[in-house]
Amino acid sequence: MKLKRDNRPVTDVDVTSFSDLAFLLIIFFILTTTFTRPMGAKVTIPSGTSDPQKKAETEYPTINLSSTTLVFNKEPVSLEQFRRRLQNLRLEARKEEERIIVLESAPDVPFEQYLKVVTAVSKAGGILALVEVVEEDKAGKSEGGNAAGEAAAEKAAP
Amino acid sequence: MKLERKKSAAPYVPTASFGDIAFLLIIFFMVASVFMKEAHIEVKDARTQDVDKVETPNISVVLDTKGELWLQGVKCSFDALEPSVAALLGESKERTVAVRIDKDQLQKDFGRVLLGLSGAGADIVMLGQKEAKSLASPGLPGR
Repeated sequence: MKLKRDNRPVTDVDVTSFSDLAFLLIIFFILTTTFTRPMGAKVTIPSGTSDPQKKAETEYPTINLSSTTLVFNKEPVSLEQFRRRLQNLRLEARKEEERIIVLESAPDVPFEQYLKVVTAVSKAGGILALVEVVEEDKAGKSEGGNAAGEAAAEKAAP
Repeated sequence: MKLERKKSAAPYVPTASFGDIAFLLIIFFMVASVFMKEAHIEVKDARTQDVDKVETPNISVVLDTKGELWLQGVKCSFDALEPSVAALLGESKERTVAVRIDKDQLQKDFGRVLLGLSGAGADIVMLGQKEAKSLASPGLPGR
């Protein structure tokens, strides 16, 4: 008897390896996914500029930061002392315009040092007004501090 | 009387739905994953004790060890930072921008970054590593 050859094409798609592929993809995603959240601190820096010649009506607490020293309200302090003084100010309970702290920073301050000061202020509930100490001001006093504070106060005021 | 042992059939585990479960898991991981945009950027993180876990913002700015500025993983000039960030923020209510700066960068450089972000109306989140609490903090001497 002559057997008839089956010429019909095979229409089934072999799906047995699909789940293997899927699990391999899962393993890839599990290995590459990071569920850890980054560490950081939210820093409030109001934008705006102010006339440096403008005389300020309010005296804001001022931080003078250089590469070697930290001066808070004209008194050299360590970082721990600085944190304690910020806590004593009880900034969180104050109105926005009373939470402004002026930060005068020298151009040669490294970021790590800057971050320690800025995050300490932020944690205490302060609003920063940034002032860059220009080269000629290094020897003398910086004029921009209270003006920047005024600018921040204008911005912070509701 | 001798009891006849019941012949049990070979246990059958249906595996037909495994593929579906696997694909659902893939979809979950694809949606939940945040691919690192800055894996190729070299930054030494600053350390401080006043940082906590924060939500990952959608916009990121990095100032690397060489002093080069990166916005969303792409090189950016200092002058272009403010308009670029302002354009990315648009009218969005979520205005948080993550800033990662190399610990040795100086204020004359990173100050421009902070002012640019502030000018763009961004809420700045400074990223750093958590430092263990210590009585003496190096780098900031007192009297």
